Amino acid sequence: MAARGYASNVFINCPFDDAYLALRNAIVFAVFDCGFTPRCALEENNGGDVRFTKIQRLIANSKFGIHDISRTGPDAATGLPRFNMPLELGVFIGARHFGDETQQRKNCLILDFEPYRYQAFISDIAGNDIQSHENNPERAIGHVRNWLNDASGRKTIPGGRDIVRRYRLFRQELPNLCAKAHVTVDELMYNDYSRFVSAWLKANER
Amino acid sequence: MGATRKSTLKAGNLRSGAGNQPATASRTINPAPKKGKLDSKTIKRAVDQVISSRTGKKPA
Repeated sequence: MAARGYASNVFINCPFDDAYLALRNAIVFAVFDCGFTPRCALEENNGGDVRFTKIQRLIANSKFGIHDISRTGPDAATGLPRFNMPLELGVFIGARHFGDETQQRKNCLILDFEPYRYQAFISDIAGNDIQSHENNPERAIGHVRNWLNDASGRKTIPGGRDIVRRYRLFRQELPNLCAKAHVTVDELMYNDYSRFVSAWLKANER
Repeated sequence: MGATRKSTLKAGNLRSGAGNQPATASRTINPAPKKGKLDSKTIKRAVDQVISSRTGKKPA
């Protein structure tokens, strides 16, 4: 049986480092503005939960998934690449392949910063929908919008330009929003940011 | 309440080093908020205030 919200949930599998924050924030905004719910490992704050169990649960409860595989470089501290994002992409694809009827309806967007680069390090995913955001948040918004529009079949999804226009306005107002809530933009946690986006979109309905 | 950044720091907690961050400065899955958690009433009030100052309309 599908989890509550399954058809609207979009699992976001992306880097959590500060260098990726602008892209993540734009993706979260786009998902909300398209009428879906972003789901991310950062949303749950339960130290007793095993991390990978939590991720598997989020994947199981999400029909859609956005997977950014752009972090392939070696870590400065270890000299080794990190494989969390390709691993989670594999779990998502595996759920679609081996899961029940609900899981087989899964659909994912794979993002990288450069077109065709993935062929050099993860060529098995050729044939999936892979888009390049070129580290540009507004390009990422366009990809998320176009993919959700196609994958969901919904007729209510606004155009990419309009989402970008609203995102710029939201970004412009975010410092004021934060000031009214006695917090600064750089202090926002994932959940705080998501709540601001959700409340702002609700108050600025089209 | 999340644990402190330092105490939760394990290799498994680090999502991506991005190739340029010292381990102690990296994000953890559940870093502790620097201030109290924002509740939805506070956020809604802030949104209403900012939007009404832009549009001149009172919040619904």
